[in-house]
Amino acid sequence: MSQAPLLSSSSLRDPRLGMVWLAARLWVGWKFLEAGWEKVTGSEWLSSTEGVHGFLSGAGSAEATAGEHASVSHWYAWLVNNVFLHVQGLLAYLVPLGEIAIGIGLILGIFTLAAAFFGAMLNLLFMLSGSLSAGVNPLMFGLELLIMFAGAAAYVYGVDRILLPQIKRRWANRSSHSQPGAAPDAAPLPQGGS
Amino acid sequence: MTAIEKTGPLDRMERSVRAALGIVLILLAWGFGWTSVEAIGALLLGLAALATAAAGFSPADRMLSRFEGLNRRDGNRQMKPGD
Repeated sequence: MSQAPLLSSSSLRDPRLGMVWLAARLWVGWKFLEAGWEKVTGSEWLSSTEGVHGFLSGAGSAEATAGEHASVSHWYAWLVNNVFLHVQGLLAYLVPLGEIAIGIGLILGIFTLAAAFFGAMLNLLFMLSGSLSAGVNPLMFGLELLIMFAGAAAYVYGVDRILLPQIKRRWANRSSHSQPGAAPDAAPLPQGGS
Repeated sequence: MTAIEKTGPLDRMERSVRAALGIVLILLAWGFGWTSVEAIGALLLGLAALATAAAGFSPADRMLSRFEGLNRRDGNRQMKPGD
């Protein structure tokens, strides 16, 4: 850390910043969990598609793309009208359940980097739809990018610190078993070249 | 996946980071109004950051490093052919 510039990517990956990333993860994860839970327990998203229809219709409307400083770009409005509105029934389930999964992943640190990536994608879609949510979406998007840059340091205090080595070990064992004539698990690695 | 080398004791740099984070989180708890979920979370994490900075020791790191030790004994070292 002392060798690297203050804000280089290697300084972000320093495990000593683990608690900073924990604080960021908890806040972003809570916002996702809260938003997903509201949609699941509310009547507008899962029982009918009114919620998602209202959101997408607003993003794809002529008013949203009108003017010199439109809140939604034309290409995205086209995408909303020609793709997203046709699968609004699917989106009514995917968005809230995705938000809950991302929230749990970030809070507990389970598949942290994947949760941060999908969270960033979701926030990006919301922002492209013209929804800044009082600046919360851009802030969450920025924090998710930083969490992704932080890599393993982001889950110093998370389940991944224990879980990922286990998964990797099992995966390595499985691939060694699948090769014909593979050495048993505990066999030493061959020494020397050729 | 190499093990994260954190076993409990905190160096000067990490203590400074935690002290600064603790102050920021307590200010955030004030900004959130003390009683919301975000405020209580920020307050608890901020107090934990300040306490561990003052003590120079992280019990969470100690606990997690024990699990990592179990992982390593369980054969994780096979994943590092250069060893």
